[in-house]
Amino acid sequence: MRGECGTIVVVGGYEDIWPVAGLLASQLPPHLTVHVIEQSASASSLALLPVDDRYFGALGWGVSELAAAGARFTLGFVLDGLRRDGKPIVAAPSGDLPAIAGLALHQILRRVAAQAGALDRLAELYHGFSFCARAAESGKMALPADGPDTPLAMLGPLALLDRATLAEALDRGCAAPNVVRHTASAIALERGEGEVVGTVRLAGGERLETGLLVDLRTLDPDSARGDAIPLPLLETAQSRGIAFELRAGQPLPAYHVKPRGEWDRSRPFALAAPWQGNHLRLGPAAGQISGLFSADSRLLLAHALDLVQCLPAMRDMTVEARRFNALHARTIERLAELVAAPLALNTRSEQEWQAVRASPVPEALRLRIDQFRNRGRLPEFDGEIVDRQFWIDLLMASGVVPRSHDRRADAFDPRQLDRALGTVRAQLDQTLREISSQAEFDARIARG
Amino acid sequence: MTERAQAIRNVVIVGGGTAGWMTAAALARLLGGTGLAITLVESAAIGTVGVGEATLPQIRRFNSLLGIDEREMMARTAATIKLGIEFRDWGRVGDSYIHPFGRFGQEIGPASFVDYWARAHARGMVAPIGQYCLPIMAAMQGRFEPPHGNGTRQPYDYAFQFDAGLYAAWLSELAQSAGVVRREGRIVDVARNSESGAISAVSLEDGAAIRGDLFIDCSGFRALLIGETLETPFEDWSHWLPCNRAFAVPCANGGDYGPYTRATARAAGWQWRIPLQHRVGNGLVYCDAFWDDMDAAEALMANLEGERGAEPRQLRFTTGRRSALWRSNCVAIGLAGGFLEPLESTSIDLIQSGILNLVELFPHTAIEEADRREYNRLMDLEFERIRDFLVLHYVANQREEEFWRAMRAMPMPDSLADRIEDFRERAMLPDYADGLFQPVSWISVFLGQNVVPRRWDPRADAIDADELGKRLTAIHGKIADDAVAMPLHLDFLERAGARYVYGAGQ
Repeated sequence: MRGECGTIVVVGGYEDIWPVAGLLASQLPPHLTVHVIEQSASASSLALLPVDDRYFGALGWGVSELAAAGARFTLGFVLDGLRRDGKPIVAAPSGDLPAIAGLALHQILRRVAAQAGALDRLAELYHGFSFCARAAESGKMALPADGPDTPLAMLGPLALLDRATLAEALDRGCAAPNVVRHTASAIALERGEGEVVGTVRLAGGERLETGLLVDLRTLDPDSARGDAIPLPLLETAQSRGIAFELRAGQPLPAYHVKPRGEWDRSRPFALAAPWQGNHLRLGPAAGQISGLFSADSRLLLAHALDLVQCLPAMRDMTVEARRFNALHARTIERLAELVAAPLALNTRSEQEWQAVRASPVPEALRLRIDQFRNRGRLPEFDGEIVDRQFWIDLLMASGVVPRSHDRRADAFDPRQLDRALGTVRAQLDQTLREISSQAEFDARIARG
Repeated sequence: MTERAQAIRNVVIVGGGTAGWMTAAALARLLGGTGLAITLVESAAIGTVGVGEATLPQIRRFNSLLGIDEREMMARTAATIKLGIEFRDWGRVGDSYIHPFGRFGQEIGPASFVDYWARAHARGMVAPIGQYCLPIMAAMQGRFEPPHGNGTRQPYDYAFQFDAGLYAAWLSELAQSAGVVRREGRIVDVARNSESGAISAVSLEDGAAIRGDLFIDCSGFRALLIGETLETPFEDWSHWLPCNRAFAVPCANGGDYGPYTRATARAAGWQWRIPLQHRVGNGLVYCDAFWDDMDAAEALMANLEGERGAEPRQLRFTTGRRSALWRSNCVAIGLAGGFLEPLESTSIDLIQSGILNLVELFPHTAIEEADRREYNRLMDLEFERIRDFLVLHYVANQREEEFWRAMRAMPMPDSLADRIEDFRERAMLPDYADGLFQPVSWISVFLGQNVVPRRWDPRADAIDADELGKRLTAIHGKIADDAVAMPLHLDFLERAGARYVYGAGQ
């Protein structure tokens, strides 16, 4: 197979194709043409995504563009229904909390708590320093750029987006002359030598030659059994009727456990190699992880980024496919362990939740939990999708309290530590008092 | 809740030398305040290999953790600056490139700089990649100044070329002043707990037994604890990195203090040149299946630039590493844990990684299996990623000698084969966060050894060819201007208190 790739055909539901086509259009070289085939829209859904997600960065989007796409901004979210006592967990993405002499704050706090014989109060002590979660809980809203040299720099604002509205904004904003729109309820693929997709035939009879087919049509998980990455814990949760949905909520968006009988019956799955030949399956065609943490939306945006990074140079796209498949496997691994974490650490007593706890935990997550539980250390892996502090917050909130701390923390003079911690806490409290309310922030964004 | 169990208190380091004293100094500095008692056992009768006169920029972080002032270190260790490594004759005889501690070019569009460069190169419209890199341009002109953050210059970093013996001796002073106890003596016995198999003590010739809770094996190739005592298997990687012998010899400096190390390919191996303030470190690494010892020694001596300072010393080694670097209550750091030839100056960096990972996982009251596993995972990853990068230098050659033809034909790790194909077919680079060698390193070796991309990221085609040419010219010009504006490396050394350059202290 020689010659340039030439034409890319993107097909799928409206909410799925535009995040891909919109990014492609923004970076496309003139010799590539993209045909976008819109199929029927799926039910509208929400996604909660970091404002500084690499995807938005690649589009050149900031807060104003996201606001124009209908985003509502928040500093955190609620995880509901995971604890035996019924208390919700408030989570807030965050940059690293201030380190003391290079040591992470939670290590210092654990040492202080141990010395005071108050390890049972470590989570409480830590919460006082969880600046971003406290800001979120108290209905505040600001951006890191509002105070780059202050604790505000730690904030990790999130955009709550309606996926259909996001797709409309991307569709509207796409003025690239080499993007051609089509609508078709059904398509047929005509394959040539070596199972290469040569032509896409639309329901109306139109035929589109294709160098690369980007397929976002939802895949039946059962058809992927022979080529799937195992997701045992997520499958157990789904088979026991445990699924999550994101609700807009006030003051914070919330991930709730869906009531019994309402859960999505489709099995979680992830293809092992979604790019075969010139047929690339993306988003819902390549994997379905969970509604929790907007994992499926994150997967779609990660796929869009990986696609532009792996755009085929020629019709022989072996190396691009290999790289994309490797990036996909890594993204699935990271997303699956993120979703699995609160499930594996749930404290509910019902049988189905116990069954989830008993399921095998992804290897990287097991390592994170073991290391954090043993010594408050958090291993990091290639392709991280949430930052270190978020993991620490999530594990602490899920009841994983370190049994020990970094031994370097024992070298500090306790009086100096008290002073340093007091200073840090006072700075955080002062900044917290000064942050604008959500309503004030919304008004500021509305004013532009 | 309180913590009552007995803390791990007694640490015994077996072996001085670079690894031993770096470990002792770091543990004393970072954990000394936690009640650790650190004893280092070494014997003046046992020589040290003195690995790694050339370092990587990571050494600066290590020195900073130890509170070491760079200026003082340079004076104490006769150090020079290193901006990269020059590789001569590695692709074809006559080729030369520098692997820099910096980056190439600057952002042009959504694709990476190397994609734009590859597109322009295919049309013959671009300078060699090295001319888009400030530390390379500075190194080639013998210039250096520390990076400063005014934001207009291309960022870069630097390392040092120093006398490893002087560095170890200085760290020995620092460590002992921080409370490390040095015991002189040859170890004649290692006692183990009969139930757990853990090491409980080492005994010296004079009958003294030194007990410990944690033992750190810095005994070099002998691997007294991790190998001889605990019988941890050694994974032999010589099928990928077959060079197994070296001669090392110092000589007088012929006048070139260039701020870089040099590695020159020879008939069946390669020769290093490391310019220090007071001498040049030289060595020839070779494979005994292709070159006998006498011919190798003659080749080294024939290529010295000045009067030799000692008789050539031979080293024999096998590349590879222990299957576990932390086993039971013993951690192997340095050559005791593994050896990768010094082609990319990784020896000291591997020591440093071993130390910093140990500090992060240092046990409180008991050694947890999870911590051992994590330490070994981290070190495995580091060794394997370095290994692949080193193998690349050998397989990507176009030389005609038997050794080099064999290198081209030898099987390589699958991970490396994919990386070479990815770059050749589409200018794709390895994508990982943890690993010593990041894309700039791979670009250097690929292009320096004539693995040129046939195609590139199509997004690089989005810019008009003339506009691309102008952008590349502007980047090239700015870097050339910035390099010329730097002071000479020798002037920098003199201002930094060098004792030997410009004839001082000779």
